[in-house]
Amino acid sequence: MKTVNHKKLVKTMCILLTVLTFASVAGAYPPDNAAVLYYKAFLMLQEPSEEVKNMMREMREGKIKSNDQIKQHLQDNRNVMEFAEAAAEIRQCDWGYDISRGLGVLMPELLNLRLTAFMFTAKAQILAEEGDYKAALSKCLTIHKMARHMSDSLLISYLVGASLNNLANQRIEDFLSIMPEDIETLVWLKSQTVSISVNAPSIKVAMAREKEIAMQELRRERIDSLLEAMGDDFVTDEITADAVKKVRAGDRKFFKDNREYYAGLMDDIIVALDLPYQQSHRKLDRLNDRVQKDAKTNPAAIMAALLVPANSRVLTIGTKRSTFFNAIRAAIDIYIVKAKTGRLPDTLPADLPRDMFSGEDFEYEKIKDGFVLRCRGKDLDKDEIYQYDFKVSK
Amino acid sequence: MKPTENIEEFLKLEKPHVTTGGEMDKRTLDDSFAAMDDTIRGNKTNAAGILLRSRAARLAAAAAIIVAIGLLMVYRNPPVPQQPLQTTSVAKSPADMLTAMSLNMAWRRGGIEAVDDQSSKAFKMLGSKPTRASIQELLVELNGV
Repeated sequence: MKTVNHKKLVKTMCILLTVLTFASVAGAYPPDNAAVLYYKAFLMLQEPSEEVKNMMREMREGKIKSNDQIKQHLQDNRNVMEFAEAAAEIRQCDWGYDISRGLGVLMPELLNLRLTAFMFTAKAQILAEEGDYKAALSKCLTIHKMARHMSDSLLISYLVGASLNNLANQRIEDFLSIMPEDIETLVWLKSQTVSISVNAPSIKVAMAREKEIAMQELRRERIDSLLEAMGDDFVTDEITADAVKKVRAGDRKFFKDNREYYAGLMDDIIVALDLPYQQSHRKLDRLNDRVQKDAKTNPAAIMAALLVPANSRVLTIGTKRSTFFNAIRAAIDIYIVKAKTGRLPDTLPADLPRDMFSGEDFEYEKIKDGFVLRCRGKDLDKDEIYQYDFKVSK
Repeated sequence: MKPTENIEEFLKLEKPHVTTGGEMDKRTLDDSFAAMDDTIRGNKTNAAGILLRSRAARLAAAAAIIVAIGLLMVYRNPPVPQQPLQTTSVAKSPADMLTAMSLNMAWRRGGIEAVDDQSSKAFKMLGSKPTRASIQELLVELNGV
């Protein structure tokens, strides 16, 4: 009797284990890590020919409509787009960077993400040509989600992410201007943009990570590979050439002092990024001037002077990205008012996303065939005030 | 009267009646050719002698020979054109071109387009990759079927 019961128990356990195994396999897709799907997509990516690449660029610039060659390229890469779309919906994305390699960490995914984003913009434009604006806008949102997955990694990925955001913002601005009034799509788009803005990439996170990784490089044994990675063309003047010579001859104390100086500077930069744009820009410029001046007399500042990029320019790129996205979010609200009331509001509705250059509301102006949202603060690098034009379809 | 003038006078006054045979003709021709050769050889020696007698002319001749040899060498073995200085991006391996630092520097040089270009070059250097693999192709590769 006991043997029979024992056999039954073993049998039940086996069945249970089998069921659990299959259940775990069945639940394994999509994976928790978006990077797995991105890498899978990139393995199948077929790069466009130069001709198709140019056509896709002209299509983005509004010079041409879609054609058979572009459609064929998208058809060839349909699996790539499917995997990338699934990946974009996953919250976590760990690219598997080997941080111990310092700034020598490999980032081959950046170009592939850009190429995939170009395909999404082309697909979005084709869908818009066919009149399916919701699907077209959805492709643009996918690009924003892809950008989020790369933006917090390092400074360079933040910048590439910003370029993807810009790509998506331009398409959304175009589609809003030509799509027929559709309150359901507008409300849906508004909710989607809110969730994207909540997960907006942070320049501070990217800077903190850059600091963490660069600190690994500031060591005697790593310096030759770092200088090699920087290339020869950054040595543009005698001061830089002299700095490189000193770095190559540096002893352990030299690198210890440089690490301390660099860490302090990066901390100051990260704090400055919390300030409103105009103040932050000025503060970053002052920090940049200080490090360049220090490097002439203080050997501990040399590595910081070589490594730290033009942070005020990076700040401007980030501010421009978030301002453009805020303009789109504000415009969606205005389009909703128009769809509900039949006319554009006379003044800007309250509590809309702001111009990040000034920290104030956009300047709103109704024009003959639509409206303009104008920044109140200028891009301090280019001395330019941006404005975003939105048309209203008849 | 000189012998040459005598002969000319003789030819002018009366037609010479000289009967010649084959042997005579041959001897005359041989003598003529020998005289001509002597004259030519003598003239050459004279010209070279005159030229080489001058020290300046000898120096000029030496210089001309050196220049000629130099030209000959240049044309036979033209100098290899100096290679332009290779930029770092070309000298690097594809993997090096895709590091964060290298891409950072590309951004500093030319923004997002420079990052695209550098990555694109690196991928081209890495070579093409399979874009699709059918079950049939995999079976052939694995089983040789």
